[in-house]
Amino acid sequence: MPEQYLARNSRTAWRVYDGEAVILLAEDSTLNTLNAVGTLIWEGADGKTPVSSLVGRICTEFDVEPVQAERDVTAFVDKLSQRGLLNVSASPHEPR
Amino acid sequence: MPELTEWLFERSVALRIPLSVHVDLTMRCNERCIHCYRVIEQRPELTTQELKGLLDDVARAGTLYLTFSGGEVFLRKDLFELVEHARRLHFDVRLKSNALLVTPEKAARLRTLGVRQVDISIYSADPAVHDRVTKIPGSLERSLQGAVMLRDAGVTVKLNCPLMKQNVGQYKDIRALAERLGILCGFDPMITAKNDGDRSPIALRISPKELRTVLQDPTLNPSCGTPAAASAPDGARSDLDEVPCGAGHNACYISAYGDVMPCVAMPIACGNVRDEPFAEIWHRSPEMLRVRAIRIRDLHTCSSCAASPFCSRCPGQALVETGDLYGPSPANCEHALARAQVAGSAVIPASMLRAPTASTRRPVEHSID
Ligand code: SF4
Ligand code: SF4
Repeated sequence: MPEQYLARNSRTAWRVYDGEAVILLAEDSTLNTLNAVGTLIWEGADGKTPVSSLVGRICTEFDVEPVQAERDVTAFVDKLSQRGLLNVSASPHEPR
Repeated sequence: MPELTEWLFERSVALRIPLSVHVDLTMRCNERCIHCYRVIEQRPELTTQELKGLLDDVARAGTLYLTFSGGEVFLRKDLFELVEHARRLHFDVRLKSNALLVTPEKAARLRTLGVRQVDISIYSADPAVHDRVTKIPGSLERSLQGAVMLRDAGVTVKLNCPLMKQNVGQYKDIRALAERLGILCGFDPMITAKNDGDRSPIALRISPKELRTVLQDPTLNPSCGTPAAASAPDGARSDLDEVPCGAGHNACYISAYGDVMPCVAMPIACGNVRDEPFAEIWHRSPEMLRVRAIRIRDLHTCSSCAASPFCSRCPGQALVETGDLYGPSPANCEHALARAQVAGSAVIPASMLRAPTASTRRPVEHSID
């Protein structure tokens, strides 16, 4: 699979409480919450970290097989992109 | 409250996180509103570096919602530097302003920085009335121009209108104006005393009759016309172990001079960020802990008030009005009575039933007709 890079929408506000991210999108003031795995991906979505490295961290920190981790990350990224919270690109870039 | 918002509110109270922080960036203003409750002091206001350090501390404490207000925020030359710093720390940023100094460039910059909303104070759709409140000729036109610039830049705009004797007859025009402009608007019939106890703004409050008219408008009060909320005839409340509100639990206010208070509406100085770190004040100040310890059962009159389902008692308001944090707020009692009447309920606020105690002996501002 070609490498991908994730970047948080720059119009989001967010905090991590007890290991779970709470995200607010300026556009519609909606709140979203993420579980621990989602929070790891969100915090790593800095536009520079390759998705493969996030998958690796999930395998280590949550004791998951790589195939399963990759599947979970893909589903998660699809969902957050649809909600306008994450941008996916094929090359790294500096966050704002 | 939507489910997730309620969950976040409860979680932040349980975790002692100052979820919403209101920071006044300056007390200077380019309007001279007749109802203004701000008090200008001789002390120097927080500098850019002090404010940036404060924002770092507040972010560490877990704050998500950050409001910059004043005074007029655009009078701070470093406003954009502060907003940029706040956004880098991932705060949700909201500004309160009169929008007189907004330009298309500034509006675009706020949008780029990810500011969620700008609340603009408007008092009437009629320039003569609005400008008489602000005491600045031409201010309505300029504020509305600012609102349109922000809207066009893609920033959410809300017109905030305190209702007082001067403008209560015109709220429908303001709502129509907001609809025409495609922006939000909100009304607040509560005019408060000044933070130093000066009660002169209270004379501007609308009458109980006017209040009932406003409350009866279903477009302003969607719950209007629905059956009255249930309340036990003896006033027994089921929420005695709950906190009265978020002040000091998940809400916090920091003045332009660095004073930390439990809420913008509750003028109890708990410490100053120039003397000690924010977290120290938030977690350990005796004043903050005293406010945090209060439960509904500790409120001497409100804890047995049958009108409580109609009341949005503000302890800060009670303190400013009567000097008693644990007692009723006469203004809130009036509002509760009006809401109950509008809903067809016969309940009477406990404060109006009992012989006044030592701490509630001050007269109610308006008589209830
Ligand atoms: S009720 Fe009053 S003191 Fe409490 S959070 Fe609301 S405004 Fe602040
Ligand atoms: S109506 Fe008055 S006495 Fe009753 S809860 Fe509200 S402030 Fe307290």
